[in-house]
Amino acid sequence: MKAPDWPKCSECQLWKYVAWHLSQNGIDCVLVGGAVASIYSQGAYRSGDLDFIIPDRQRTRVGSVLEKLGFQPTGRHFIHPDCPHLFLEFPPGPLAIGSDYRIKPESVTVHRRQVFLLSPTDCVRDRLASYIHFKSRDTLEQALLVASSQSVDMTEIRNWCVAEGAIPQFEEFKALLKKRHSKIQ
Amino acid sequence: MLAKFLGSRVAEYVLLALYHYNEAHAALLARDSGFALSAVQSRLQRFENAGLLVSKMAGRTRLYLFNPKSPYTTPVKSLVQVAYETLPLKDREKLFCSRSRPRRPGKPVVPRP
Repeated sequence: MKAPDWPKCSECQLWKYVAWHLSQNGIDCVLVGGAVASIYSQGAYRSGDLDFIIPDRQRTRVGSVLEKLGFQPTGRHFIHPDCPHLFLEFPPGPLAIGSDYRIKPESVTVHRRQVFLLSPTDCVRDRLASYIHFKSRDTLEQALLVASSQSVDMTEIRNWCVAEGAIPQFEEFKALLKKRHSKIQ
Repeated sequence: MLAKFLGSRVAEYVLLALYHYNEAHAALLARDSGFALSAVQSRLQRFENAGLLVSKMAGRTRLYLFNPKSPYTTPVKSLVQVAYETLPLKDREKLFCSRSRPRRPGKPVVPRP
């Protein structure tokens, strides 16, 4: 797969490029976090970092694959010298959203390979998890951006919020989303 | 007992202390426990790398807490809870002697008898 236009490349382009090469080298990765919100909001939110969850046993090979692509390790991150506005991170797994670890990621076919990211509903849950547990309003905003531009399963989100003990946060999210929808219509 | 599962007394202390204080910095844990600061810092980083803890800056201090977004946190905390609740009260007071509740500036400290 051809390299993206490094100085201008978006989260989506970099994700596809990196995930495709990792997959070609037998490494299964799933994109999570703010970059997914950036992709689903079509760039309305800019993340800056791409978080990939990788099975523990495949971690050791990641560095060598990325270095072949021109990425340089800096602390816990990998940065491409021609793409300083985006960096890659590999947080510890497993793939989970709060206490739910039975996550089925969404797949996209890129040059005959499947690459994976959180579904829109899981992306909203993931962003809400940070709002619920770290009280970060910016991630609530990201959840709203995704939910207003993608089709999401509100029942699934509600049930998960109930399990996380976060009904007031769900109600707040739902009310804000309703306001946005009424503005859009 | 927890130290035997974890293979480290520092690891046991760090988890018990974070269960007790909810969030704490390495210097406080080292001061309370008497373990070397470097040993406490290294253990905190290992737990953070494993995803069990997260950290945040408060001024110039790095505070550690259990990662509420990790699916491992609830089961690990349940284990820590058993160890914590079976500690005699005297030991608990000795191990976790720093105050974490808010305190008005200038309020006098009355020493314990």
